[in-house]
Amino acid sequence: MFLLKRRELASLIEQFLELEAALKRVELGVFPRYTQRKAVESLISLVRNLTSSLEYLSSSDSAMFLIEKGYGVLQAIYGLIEKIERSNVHYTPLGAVYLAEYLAEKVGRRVIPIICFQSSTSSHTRLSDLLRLVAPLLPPGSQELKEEVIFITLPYFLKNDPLFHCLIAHELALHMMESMGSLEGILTKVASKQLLVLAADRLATLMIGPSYLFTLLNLNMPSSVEEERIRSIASLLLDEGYYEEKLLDGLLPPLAKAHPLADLDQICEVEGYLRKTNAYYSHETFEREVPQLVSRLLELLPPNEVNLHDTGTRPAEIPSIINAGWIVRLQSMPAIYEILKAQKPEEKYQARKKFNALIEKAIELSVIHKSLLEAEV
Amino acid sequence: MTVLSKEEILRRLFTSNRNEKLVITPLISKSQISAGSVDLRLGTEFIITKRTKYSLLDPAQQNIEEEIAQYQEKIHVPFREKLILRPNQLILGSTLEYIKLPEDLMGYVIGRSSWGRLGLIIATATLVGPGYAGVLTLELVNLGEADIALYPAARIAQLVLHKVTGGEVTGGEVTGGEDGYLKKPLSKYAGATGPEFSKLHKDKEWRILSGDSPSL
Repeated sequence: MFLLKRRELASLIEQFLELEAALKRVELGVFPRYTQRKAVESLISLVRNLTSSLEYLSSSDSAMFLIEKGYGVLQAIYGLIEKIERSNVHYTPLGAVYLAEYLAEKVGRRVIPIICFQSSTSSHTRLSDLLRLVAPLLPPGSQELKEEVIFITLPYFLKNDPLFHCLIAHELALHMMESMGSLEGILTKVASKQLLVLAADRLATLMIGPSYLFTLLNLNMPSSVEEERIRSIASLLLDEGYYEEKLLDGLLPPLAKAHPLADLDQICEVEGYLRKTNAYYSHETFEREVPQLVSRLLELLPPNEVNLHDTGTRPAEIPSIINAGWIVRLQSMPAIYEILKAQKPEEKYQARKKFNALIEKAIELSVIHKSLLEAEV
Repeated sequence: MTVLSKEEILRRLFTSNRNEKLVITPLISKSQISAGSVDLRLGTEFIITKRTKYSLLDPAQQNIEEEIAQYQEKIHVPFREKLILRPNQLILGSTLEYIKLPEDLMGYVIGRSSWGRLGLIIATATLVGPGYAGVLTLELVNLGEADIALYPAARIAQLVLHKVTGGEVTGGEVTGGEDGYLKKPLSKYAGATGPEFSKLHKDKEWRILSGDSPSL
């Protein structure tokens, strides 16, 4: 029995060493951003700690249990490596990466987002969850993360449509609730996963405005699921004043009685926290920026900046760019087709691609513009 | 043709008259505008050549568009990263700025001498037609002996703007040019957000030049 355990342990250590070698190879990959490198670094550090812990594992009765856990962790880390590789510049549009970084930074909880388009639904995994799983295997003092890494997976079929990347906000909202300890409270109180989804929807709407609603409305979800979520978001948009917005005439759904979600203490707490951070995208910002950006798009210009009262410009906020994109897509695509002389289906497809490219370009220009302005100061 | 002065460029950038409006976005700083030209930055998308795939590019060949797409590859070099340009290597880049010219202006893209002294040539096809909207594709060639590091958002080129005079300006085309060159529709690359593959094969005369058409 003892020999069997030793052999299994030796095999597991070998596999962890192979895992470290794989991570080293990934580290040399082509990444869109420094965030991917940071994620690889975090995983390498975790794997090294695990390997050295396994080397000193005693032959106690609990060893087999820990060995079994080790195999599970091995598989989980390979899964994360795949996500990191899929997040590289060949597979992942930078617009999505920039949006995730923008929102993560605004939330202000030291989060490194890794985005990949891999599955048919959206989801997320956190490095801290993995760390908790292997806590018994780690030496004391190596169980804390300096920065959380969140691996967000979005449906592959949405990869080339920047307007649907709003789903990132929902995953970040779930992470916010998890990291603030609100999740447990919500689940205990109402014992409903659906309610958790509704709460994340509300937070996502506070982060990126009506564009989140348009994303859900155009996702073709099952209608029973959709209705309750749409009602809940619509009631929040009403509270935020968007139903009086002329630019949104005819685009928002009719109001219906929504689940009294906002009464839940935990959700109030997280919404209150979010409203105090820079992550809150207010109706005022929408009013100030989106009409100008819509006009730019209708002239086939990227909606990346807004005019100031004196003769200057400044970069637009990324949620404003996405809101403008949705408004034009829902209201004025025929005008875009006309500008681009697109009549046949193939021509319209190309025009739509050009339109999406303008949105992606605007997001990138806004990020670069901001960075260069900071450098000038 | 007259060259636009700094004052006229600024006026055109901030005018509310749509017929005269010049768009260069983003314009990070007014110091990018000097007497007679606007500094342009390098974009983040590039088209590089896969050297071993094809030995011949024949614009008259059927399916040349697909072949060019296989021969060349689009890559993205993010902001704060760099791309190394080897001696004698040609890559296509683009300006970071998206440009829209009114229909009474045209432009020429020229290199900045500081880069030229390192051996970098930034453009060989430099005409920007009236009414053009999009980023400008740059043909980047390293004529020096040493590798050159290219950083997205670095100031790399200059756009010199001219007023088009003496002809009627209509719908993206200028008529009345002396040699007829400007009579050609200029919308082939319009609306681009990154460097574009060559569309030389779309010129109609290839059918004649390659002998596919029975008569001139």
